[in-house]
Amino acid sequence: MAEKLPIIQNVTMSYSGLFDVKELYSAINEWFKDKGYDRREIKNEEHVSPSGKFIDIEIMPYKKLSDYAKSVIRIQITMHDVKEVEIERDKHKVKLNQGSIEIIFDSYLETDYEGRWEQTPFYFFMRTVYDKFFYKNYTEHFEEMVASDTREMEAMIKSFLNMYRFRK
Amino acid sequence: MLNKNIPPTILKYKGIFDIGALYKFMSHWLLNEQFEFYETKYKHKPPKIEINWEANKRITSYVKYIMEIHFYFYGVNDVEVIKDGAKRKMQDARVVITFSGKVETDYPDIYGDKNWEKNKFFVKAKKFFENYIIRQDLDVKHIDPFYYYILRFYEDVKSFLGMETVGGLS
Repeated sequence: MAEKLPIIQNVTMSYSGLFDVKELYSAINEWFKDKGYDRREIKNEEHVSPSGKFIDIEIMPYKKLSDYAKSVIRIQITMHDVKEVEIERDKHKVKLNQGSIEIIFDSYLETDYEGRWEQTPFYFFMRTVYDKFFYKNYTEHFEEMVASDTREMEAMIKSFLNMYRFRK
Repeated sequence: MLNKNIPPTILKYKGIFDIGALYKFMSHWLLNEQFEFYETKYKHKPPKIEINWEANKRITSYVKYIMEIHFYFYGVNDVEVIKDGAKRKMQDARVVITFSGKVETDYPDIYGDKNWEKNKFFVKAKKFFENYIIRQDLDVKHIDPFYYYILRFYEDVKSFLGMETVGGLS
């Protein structure tokens, strides 16, 4: 079984106001695609009610950094009371959504994701020695990459949502 | 036989939609993509409906894609809505659709025999073949594309239901 090393845990972000659900979703997917992540959507839930839509999405894109390590970023997006509104921007009517969002970020470095080093106790021992003494620099470098990707993703979503806040 | 499982993706929706139209849309999608599909379970116990589908497509004489779809409709109530000026019978319901799949190698022929399991030599040769010769090919040419293929179907279903979060596969 692969080993998961937590890098960033439970970083939350919340926003309330105008935004575009479709554009936010596309922006997140585009960002991951540009960064070379493989898409993985665990869950997508939508409830339609008179007070607005409830949307709950869980995505877990991953990127293989080497044959041994991969970066996994888990994002849980929960939206409440999402309604469609029409606003006037630059003398044009634009359809947007209004509601509140909460986003939770977690990321981790998954090593030996193919479970090749766990077939015998000797391999497992060798893997631990290798991780601790020989591969330490690489692991640290990979950890930095995962953390930097997570922070960049967070910053991208923040700036995306701020754009709506200031462009009313 | 190698069975590479593709992780499941879950779609949940609550609202007003046409169950019959969703059923037709999804079955036509699979048939248009040249899948053979079977309904392995149909359980209708109002207000719940549970359906299992297994769709498969032979890609080469060695590789076959198998898609498994599980539907669970609950809280199903018939409602009448006016859509495009006409009265239509739809359902106010909750649905959970689970999409999963696997890539099967050396699949059995119509008689249930597998070409690579006829004698011990072939069994060992197959193991070597899959672990060392075509391992990368299976990953790159079959498992990843099939996963994205399932996601495309999943996106089309989201779009059919009118969900907000569509368009992630641009």
